[in-house]
Amino acid sequence: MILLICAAVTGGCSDKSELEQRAFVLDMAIDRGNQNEYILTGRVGVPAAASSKTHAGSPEESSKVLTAVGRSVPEALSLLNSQAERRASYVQCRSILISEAIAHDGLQTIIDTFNRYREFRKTIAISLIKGSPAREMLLLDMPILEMGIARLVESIADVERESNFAPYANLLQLSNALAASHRDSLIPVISINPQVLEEKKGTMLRPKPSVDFIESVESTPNIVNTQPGEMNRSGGTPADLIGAGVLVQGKLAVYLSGEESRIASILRNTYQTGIWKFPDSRAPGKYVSVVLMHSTPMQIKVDTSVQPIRIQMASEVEGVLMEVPAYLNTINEAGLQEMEALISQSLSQQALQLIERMQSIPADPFDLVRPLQWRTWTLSAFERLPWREMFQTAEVNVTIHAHLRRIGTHGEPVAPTVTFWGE
Amino acid sequence: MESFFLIAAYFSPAIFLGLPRLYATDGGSALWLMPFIIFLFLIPVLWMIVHLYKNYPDQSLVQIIGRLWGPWAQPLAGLFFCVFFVIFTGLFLRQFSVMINVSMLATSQPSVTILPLLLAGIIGALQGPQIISRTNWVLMPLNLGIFLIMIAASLRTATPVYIAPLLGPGIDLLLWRSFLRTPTLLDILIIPVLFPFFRQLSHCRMSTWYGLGFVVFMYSLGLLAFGMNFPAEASSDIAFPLFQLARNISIGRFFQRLEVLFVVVWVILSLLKVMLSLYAAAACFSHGIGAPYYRPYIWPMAVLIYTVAFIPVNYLVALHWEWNYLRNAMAPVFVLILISLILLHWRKTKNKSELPREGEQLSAK
Repeated sequence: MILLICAAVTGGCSDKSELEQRAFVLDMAIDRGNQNEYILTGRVGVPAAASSKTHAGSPEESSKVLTAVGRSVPEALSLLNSQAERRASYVQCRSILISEAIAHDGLQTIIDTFNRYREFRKTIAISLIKGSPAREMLLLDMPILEMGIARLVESIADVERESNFAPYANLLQLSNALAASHRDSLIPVISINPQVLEEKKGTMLRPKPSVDFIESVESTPNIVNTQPGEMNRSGGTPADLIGAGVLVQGKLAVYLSGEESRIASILRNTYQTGIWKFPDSRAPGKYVSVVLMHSTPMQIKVDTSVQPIRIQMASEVEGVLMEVPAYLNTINEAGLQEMEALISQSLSQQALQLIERMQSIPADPFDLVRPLQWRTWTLSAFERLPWREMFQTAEVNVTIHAHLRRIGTHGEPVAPTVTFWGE
Repeated sequence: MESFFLIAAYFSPAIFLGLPRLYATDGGSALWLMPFIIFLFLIPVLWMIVHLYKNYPDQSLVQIIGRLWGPWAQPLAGLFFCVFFVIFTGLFLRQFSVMINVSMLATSQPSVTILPLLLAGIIGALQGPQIISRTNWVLMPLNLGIFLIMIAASLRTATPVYIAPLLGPGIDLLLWRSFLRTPTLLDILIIPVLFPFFRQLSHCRMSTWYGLGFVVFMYSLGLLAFGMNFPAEASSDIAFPLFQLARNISIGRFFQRLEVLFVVVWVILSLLKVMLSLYAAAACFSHGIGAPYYRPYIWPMAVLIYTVAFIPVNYLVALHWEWNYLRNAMAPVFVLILISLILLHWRKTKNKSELPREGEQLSAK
C-alpha cells in the first residue's frame, strides 16, 4: 500500500507519457550523404487516420514521412522532433532500412545507437535497400494488403521467414554476428523494381498492357530472374522483397539472389517451406515442381586432421509433388526415387556452388565453424583459429536429400491418350 | 520451506541487475558454470555456518561473537555487519534505480525509485523476518513462475553454440576467477543473522545448503539462458542482462514487450531484499550495543542506506565499488570471523572436557 502511495506521489510528472502527445515512428530509413551526413527518414503513424478508415486508407493517409539530416544518427533522431507537433517516440519502431552506402561502410557505424538507446528493441527488423536511397522505399511503398504500417513490417518479416527468398534479420542477430568471432551474417535486401516503378502514376499503380509487358520481359536476357531489383514482373508493390546481402564483419560483401537465399536458408537451418522447380533430365525443357519443407537440420562435420580441411554437410527436406511432366508415367516407386535423386542432386549442387562462392570471398554466413566451436575447449584457442583461411581452402561436400513424401491430390499427370481412329 | 525460499529471494535480485555481466567478463562462454564452482568453494563456509547454529541456535552472529570473543567484540561486530548491510543495500538500490531509469522512467530522479522501495522496506522490516518470510512464501509461485517463463521464452531466440567453448577461458582460469568471485555470494551473511528464527537444526541446514544450492541453480539457469542469447564476446557489454533477455522475447504478434511483467517480479523481490536487509542492519546494530529492540534503528538505517545509494557518481561506479572492491574486502573478514568462532568454540569445548569432573576431584581428595 505504502509502495503504491509513494509511487503515485514521488513519481511526479517528469516521466508522464501521454499517447496523444507522441509521434510514434513505425519504421525508419537511414542514408548517408556525400559529406558523410546521415539522412534519417521516419514514418510516423497517424492513429486517427488509421482508426477512421480502418483497412481502407492507404499508408500515405495513415502515416507521414519525416526526414532529418544530422552528423550522427542520434542528431538526426533528435532533429526529427522539430518537424512534428508531437515528440517522436521510437518504442513502436519495427523496422530499420539501411542504404548500401552504410552497409558498405559497416553496420558498426550505426548499430550502437540502436543497441544503446532504450526506446529501440533488439527485435527490430533490419533490411538493406539496394540500388536506391533507403528513404525512397518509405516514399514509394505501396503495400498490397496491409494498410497498417506496423502490420506491414511484421508481415514482411513473416514472409521472409516463411518463403525464404530473403533471410529475416533483426538487430539482435546482426549485432551478435558482428561481435562473435568467425561469424558473418545475411541481411534481407529490398529493392525498387524499375519495371513496376514505371507503372506507378502518382499514388496509383496501373499495370502495363499485356503486349508491353511481354515485350519488356522478352527483351531481358534472363527471363526468370531472382536477383534483387531485376525481377520481371508487373503490379504489386514496387519493392522487390527478394535477395540477401552477405555481411562480412558487418560490411556488405556481395548480394545473393532469391534462389541463393533459399539455399542459404537450408544451409543455415532457417528454411521452412517453398515451391521449387527442377529441370527434368528425362524430358528436356520440362520441370518437376515440388513443395519442399524443412525436415532434418543440417548436420555439419568438420575434419581438421587433413589439409585442406574437409567439411561434410548433410540435410533432408520433405517434398510434396506439385507438377510432373506429362507422358512420363512416373507416379510409382521407381519414378519417385528417380525424382528424389534428381531433386537431391540439384539441391546439393546449388548448395555447393553457393558455398564455393562464399569461399572465394571468404565469408561464412552459414555458421560452419559451429562444430569447431563445440570441439574447442577455450575461448582463446577458438579466437586464434584461422577459420577464414581454413574455410577458404576447405573441401566441401554437401548432401541435401529430398524425400518425396506425398504425390499431391493426383496420380499420373493428365495427358491426351494417343489413339488413331483407323486402328 | 519458508526459510529456504526466503534465502532464495534474498539472493535473486542480484541476478536481475549487473551481476551476470561480471560472470560473463570472467567466465566468457562458461559463465553459467561459475555459480556451481563458487558453490564448491563456499562449502567450508556453509559448513561453518551450520556448525555455529548447531551450538548457538538462539543467538545471532553478533551475539555469538560477543559470547566467544568477549563483550568488547560485540559492538565492533555489530557495527561491522551493520555497515555491511547498509552499504550493500544502498549500492543495490542505486543499481536498481538505474535499471528502472533505463527501462521505464527515463527522466525521473533515482530517488523516485529508491524512496518508495525504502519506505515500503521500512514497513516490512518493522514487521520482522517472520512476516517478510510469509509474504515471500505467498508471492513465491508468482516470482518463480515468471522467472521460469522468462527463461523458457528466451530459449526461442537462443543459439546454443554461444555457450561453447565449454570451458570459457580454460579450466585453470575459470577456477581461479570463480574463486575470486566467491564474494558474489557473500549475502549468505544473512543466514547467521537469522539464526534465532530457525526452529531447529534441520531448518537451518535446509536453508543454508539447499537454499544456496537452489540459488546457484537459478543463477546458473539465468546465466545459461543469457549465455545462449548473446555471444561471449558481447555478453559482458549488456548493461542489464536478464532485462535485455526479457526484452528480446517476441513470440508472434501478441507475446511481445513482456518485460513489464518481469519488472513487477523484480520490484517484489527487490522489496523483499530491502526489507530483510533493513532488518539485518538494525538487528546487528541493536545486538552490537546490547539494545533489547531492533525497531527503533530501522528508520536511521533507512536514512543511511538512502545516503549510501547516492554516493557513487554513476551506475558503473556503484557496480565497481560493490562487486570489485567492497565485497572482496569484506568476504575474507567474514570468513576469518567464522573460522575464529569455530576455533574458539572448539577450544572452549575442549577446555570444558579437560576439566576434572566434580566427583573425580572429591575422590582424589
